[in-house]
Amino acid sequence: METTSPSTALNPPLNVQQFDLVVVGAGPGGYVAAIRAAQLGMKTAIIEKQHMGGVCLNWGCIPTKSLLKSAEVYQSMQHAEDYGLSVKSADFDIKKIVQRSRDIANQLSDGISYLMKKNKITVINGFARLAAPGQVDVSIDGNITAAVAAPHIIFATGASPRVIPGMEPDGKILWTSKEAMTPTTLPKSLLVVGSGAIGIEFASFYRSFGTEVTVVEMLDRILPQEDADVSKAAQRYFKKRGMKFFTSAKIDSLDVQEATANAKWQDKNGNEQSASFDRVILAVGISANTEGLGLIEQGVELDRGQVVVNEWSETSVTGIYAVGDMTQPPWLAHKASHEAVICVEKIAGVADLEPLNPLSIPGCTYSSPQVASVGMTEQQAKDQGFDVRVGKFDLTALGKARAMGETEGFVKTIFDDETGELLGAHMIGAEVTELIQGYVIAQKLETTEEELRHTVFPHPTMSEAMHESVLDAYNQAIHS
Amino acid sequence: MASVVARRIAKTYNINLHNITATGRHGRVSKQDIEAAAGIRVLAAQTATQAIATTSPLAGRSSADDSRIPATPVARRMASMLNINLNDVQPTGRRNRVTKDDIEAAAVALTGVADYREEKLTSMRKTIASRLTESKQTIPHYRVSVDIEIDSLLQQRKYMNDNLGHSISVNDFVIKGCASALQQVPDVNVQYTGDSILKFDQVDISMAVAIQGGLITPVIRNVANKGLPQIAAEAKDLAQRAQNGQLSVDEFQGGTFSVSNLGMFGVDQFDAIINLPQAAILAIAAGKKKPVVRGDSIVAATVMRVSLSSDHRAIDGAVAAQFLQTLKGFLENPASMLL
Repeated sequence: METTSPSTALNPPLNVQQFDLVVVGAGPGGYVAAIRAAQLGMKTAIIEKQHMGGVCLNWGCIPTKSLLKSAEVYQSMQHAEDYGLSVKSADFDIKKIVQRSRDIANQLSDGISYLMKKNKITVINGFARLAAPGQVDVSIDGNITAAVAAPHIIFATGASPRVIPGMEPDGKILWTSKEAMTPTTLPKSLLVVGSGAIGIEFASFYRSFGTEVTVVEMLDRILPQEDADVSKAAQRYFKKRGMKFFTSAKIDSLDVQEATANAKWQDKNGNEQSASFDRVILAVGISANTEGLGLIEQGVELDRGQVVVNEWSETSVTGIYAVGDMTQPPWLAHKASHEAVICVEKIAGVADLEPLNPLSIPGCTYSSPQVASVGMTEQQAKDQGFDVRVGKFDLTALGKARAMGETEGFVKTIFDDETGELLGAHMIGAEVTELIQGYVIAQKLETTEEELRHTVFPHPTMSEAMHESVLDAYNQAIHS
Repeated sequence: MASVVARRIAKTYNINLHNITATGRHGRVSKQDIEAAAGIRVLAAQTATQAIATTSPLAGRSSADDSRIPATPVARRMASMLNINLNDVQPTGRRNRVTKDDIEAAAVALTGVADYREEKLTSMRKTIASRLTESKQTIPHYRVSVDIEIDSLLQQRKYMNDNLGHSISVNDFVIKGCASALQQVPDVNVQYTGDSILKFDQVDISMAVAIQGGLITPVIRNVANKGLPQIAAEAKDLAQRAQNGQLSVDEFQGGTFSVSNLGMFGVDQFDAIINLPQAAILAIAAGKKKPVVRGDSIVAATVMRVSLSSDHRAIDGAVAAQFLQTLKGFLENPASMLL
């Protein structure tokens, strides 16, 4: 007969569950890692503190794309007459727009839960902490509720908006992206600090509904990670839509009042500028979520807050891995997912693996017009000593772009003159985020201009601009 | 001088730019120059296949049809540009496809040129480079050397260190010996200025100290008037602070004569380049037991070879020889330095 002493009855020892692989964080890095591991036959657990799908699906990529689609439809309604249509009165309800985006996020989050179930992945809710190498404790509100052990533990806890001292978001006037995608009313005026993809997408969204938008960027051009030609064109198109830009400008102070914030900044000529805004969005990068995970305590090396990993996502501690936004840039969902797959396959001993080449990761900005790119910018290619051949094709000369009434933008391609290798591709215009993967494949397969020249592009499509740009690099463009 | 593109190709294929004849604009190495150089290597290998020994990296290059070897388009184009047969390339791509990286690796392996990485010059290296180049190019150097037997010196040193508690090195004896010899032969304690010769009445000896990334020559002043313990203490202090980068400018400038000692590395003999604007430098090798002829018999002695590099514009051969003879006398009979 078994007996239980009173003390162990009060504090039952936690049953440590054993797994082949434990994933911490259920964003696009974590849930993809878990699914791939399950496919490879590993007994897998995933620990998530909040939402299945992570920031990307709940508070990032997906809900913002829903918002931007509403903005796009609204813009089309306003230009209905250009298409020979008439709309009696184009109007919108911001609450319904936000609700639509929340519904979509929730549907997809449920979809991830379904995928976990389908792949027989154990989902554990709570906050994970590395208790010892190979062991993770899970707690809810500070009480340990589960303990798991595995020889391989992948951290994919993502990142949070970076906060600048003196500009701490209050969620009311000073927004981070989370508040910016769930507005209850539409601000009349908006200041966006930072002009990377996130800042520009919000600027574009709010401008579509009539908000007076001002963007302040510290560097000398907007979308500074893109090719300089794209940055220049983007600023021109956005200005035409009524946005204001201050580049090479630094915010000196943000004074938050009852219903507004007074901002002071220096413009590029050193002149002091100031204005009052209903809302301010801080989009000045992200910082890795590494706090409280027990990583530092177990000796995992960090560099300026990011987890240091090698090309196989291995940290400085054997058996502990990190993928996605908590590691080195680019900070993109598809980078996290791809790293996760490679990391898991490496653990499983899959043959023929190649590490992820950072230059093969495309970047997309879902503004109006859209921006998409892969590989090196023209400047980067020149700096690396390449003798480049540059092709450029304006969408104004493209039949499909005219038919769509979307003639703003161009496709730019950069080839190595010596080997014909496609070094980079940069696009701005309607639907270019859907087009870029054509070039990503070309790069991955190491095609030269010759294969691209002899690839048949369907007519009439926007993709024809991709063909013409390649032809232009070799002075063979047909429609320019 | 090379174009950016040439530099990149050279780097990719590990071609030493210094081996390339420049024909580009303004005497720069052009892309074509590199290609020509790479091409010559490859062609030479092809026409002389039989002549190449089996150990050569160029041996066994295939001439078989490689059109069916799977390769990426970029890899295939690079291979044809570099005249590399795909049969000779180790594929690492998926499904055994030859990739761009594989061709780059093969180009290195097949040309057999050593890998290197480029390090920018520190300001110290730049100074060393310009000073020594100037010295070697402007000063008519000549060298005289002599073997010095130091058994007596070692015996005295052992007594001083073991019984009197000093810490005196062989190098300290040599510095002291040089000072004594320079007093006897002051025509070596000079500098050539172009229209005159400066003759110093005090002996300040610069000693070469190897430090991280280069060397520096701190100066022991007025050596002739200092005893061995003081020279030893100053030499040790200067060397240590040189290593730590704590020397002040006046501690390594000036000096009327230099010594450079590589004895601790066991070298048999070496020559030094004169430390501008000085006119002579003594290179000191290791003291080693050697058979020497004394009278009609062969005996073992500890022999140290020193070599004096002199500026012939200021110091003639006979004077240099006289200095070495005097130095040899002092170091073989250390007590005579007391006189």
